[in-house]
Amino acid sequence: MLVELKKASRSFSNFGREKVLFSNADLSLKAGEIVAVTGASGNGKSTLLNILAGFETLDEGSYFYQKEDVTNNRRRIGELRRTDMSIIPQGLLLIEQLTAFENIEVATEAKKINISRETVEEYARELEIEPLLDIKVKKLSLGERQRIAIVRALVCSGNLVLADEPTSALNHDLALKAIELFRRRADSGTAFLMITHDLSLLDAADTVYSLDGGRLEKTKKQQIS
Amino acid sequence: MRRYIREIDLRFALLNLLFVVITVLTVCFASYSQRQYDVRVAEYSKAAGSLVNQLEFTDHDFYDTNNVFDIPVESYLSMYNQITSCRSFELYEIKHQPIDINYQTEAEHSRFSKILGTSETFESEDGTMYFCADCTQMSQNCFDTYPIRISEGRAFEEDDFVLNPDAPLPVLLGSDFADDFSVGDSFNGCYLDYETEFEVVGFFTSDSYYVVGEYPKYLNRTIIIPFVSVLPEDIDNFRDFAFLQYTSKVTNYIHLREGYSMNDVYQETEKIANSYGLEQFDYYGIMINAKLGSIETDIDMVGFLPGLLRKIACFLFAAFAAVNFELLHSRRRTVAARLICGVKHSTVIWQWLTENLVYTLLALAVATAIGLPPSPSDLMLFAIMPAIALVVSLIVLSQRSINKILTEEAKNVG
Ligand SMILES: Nc1ncnc2c1ncn2[C@@H]1O[C@H](COP(=O)(O)OP(=O)(O)O)[C@@H](O)[C@H]1O
Ligand SMILES: [Mg+2]
Repeated sequence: MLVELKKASRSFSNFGREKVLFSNADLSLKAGEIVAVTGASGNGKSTLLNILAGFETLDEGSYFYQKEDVTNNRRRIGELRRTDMSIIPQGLLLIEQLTAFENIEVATEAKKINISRETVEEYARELEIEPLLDIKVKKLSLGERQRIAIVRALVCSGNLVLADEPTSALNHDLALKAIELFRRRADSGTAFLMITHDLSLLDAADTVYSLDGGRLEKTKKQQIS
Repeated sequence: MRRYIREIDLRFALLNLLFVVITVLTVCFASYSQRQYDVRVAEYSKAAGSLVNQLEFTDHDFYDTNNVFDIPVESYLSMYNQITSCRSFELYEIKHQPIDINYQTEAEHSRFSKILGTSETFESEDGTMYFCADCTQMSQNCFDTYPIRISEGRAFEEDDFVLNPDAPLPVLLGSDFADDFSVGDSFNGCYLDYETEFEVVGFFTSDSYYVVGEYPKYLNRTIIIPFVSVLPEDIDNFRDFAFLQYTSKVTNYIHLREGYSMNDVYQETEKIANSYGLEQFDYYGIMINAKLGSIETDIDMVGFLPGLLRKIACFLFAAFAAVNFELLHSRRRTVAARLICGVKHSTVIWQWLTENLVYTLLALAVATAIGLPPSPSDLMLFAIMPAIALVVSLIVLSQRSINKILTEEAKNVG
């Protein structure tokens, strides 16, 4: 297993009211697997992803990464973010003042990997943003930004990609193209954890979890589609 | 590096830089004016050390009532001894004192009035004629300090400065008297209430002078008598004389000694004054020359600046902290973007510190370029700025605040 959450719990107390996002949740991810997580807004999907990315912590339970216990070990998960993971956050988080390509460079540089301009262009071409690579992000539309965030994650993906609603601003065709790219990366061993409502993404997923009312459950794909 | 600079929102960065520059300049200017002030104070002390201030009582009762006369002469004697043994200054006794000289013939009178000008004459009850001659009393150290030389006869000796009832009081005359007087001449008169014989013991050279006030006072037409003290055993016989003499001796001029300030003088003399139930001594600002006066006004002008500037600087440091906070706050999304790419949290903080350090160094370069180089202690002070930046970054880039951004939904900007 690449990623395993065991008996994981997380809750927030907002204005004295305890809100359980999930408790006693199990989740696992194999190399090359695409896992989708669905659930209504506010159910804690992004928090789950942030826990896997090492920004948030678990209240209870454990988090194993390649059998290593990294539960609430921010420093270690921080290292993994550099070496093993790439993230497409819900808010995309691109640097506005930089061009699309420079944003990708920030990531490759931080991860100390060498990616040629051609490789970037190949991905960009598939998502129809190749001509935008040298334009400053602040001039791009949300859909364009989302695709750049996808390219940024794919270009330097290691063993795991964490994607928070990566196709929310894309039309159906582009969403399919993105999934196509995910699948190709997955076939070469990268695991994907995606948060999504997009049915076509759910179709492409190997496993689907739903997060609802504090429970994280594996769902049969058929039931959803 | 180039890319990093382009990530910076220039308007905010310039604002931050501006605050750093203004703060640094203010601090540098504060210590610049402090140095100017110190230089003037040093100059002043040096000048003051070679000059004379007047020491006077300002006991309100001194002139109004006879309060001062309630203090026994013995107290004045010991007060005098204490004043002359103060460490911060040396007492210089120079004081005009009219003496009544008796004369039989008009010729005897005119050889004085020729030089001194016409003066008051009067006849005593027993028919003796007196005229009033202005003399100057001087203590021994005046003769050592000022260019006073003897052309004929002898100078005063140590014994001359002590009242000797068995001998005439020695007198030195200015060079203009030399035609009509000779060494050994004597005349009778009244010094305060002490009737005595005066004996001419010598003459000054024509270029002899002393300085009180701005200008030299040449001694050509001056009669100088020693500012005598009265031995303790003679006090009973000369009580009134001794009383007048010592009250007069203790209010005189002082020389600051090297390494002391007027403040030291205040402290030493106030203690003495208080111990005799007098309010205090005052120092008439008889600044002995114009230079000292001008330095003093300079000191007043420059003196308030460093304090004021330091207060402004404190305010600016606070403003800098606020601007710094706002600036980094506006950059949180950029920081979060770097963090999700795998950039280390510590790296981001280091970059922020470096950025602020660069601003500080730039500001220091500007300060140096316009002639306000920082003092070593200022450099320590400027470490506050990166320290502020560090604290700001720890607050603004806390995990909590970053997590908040990470769960934010994408905003549609384009
Ligand atoms: N740091 C936090 N402190 C308190 N409550 C939080 C925090 N982060 C998220 N939440 C709450 O947790 C719930 C889940 O948020 P999120 O994970 O973004 O949901 P989703 O991504 O499923 O829409 C929300 O109700 C949100 O208000
Ligand atoms: Mg979410």
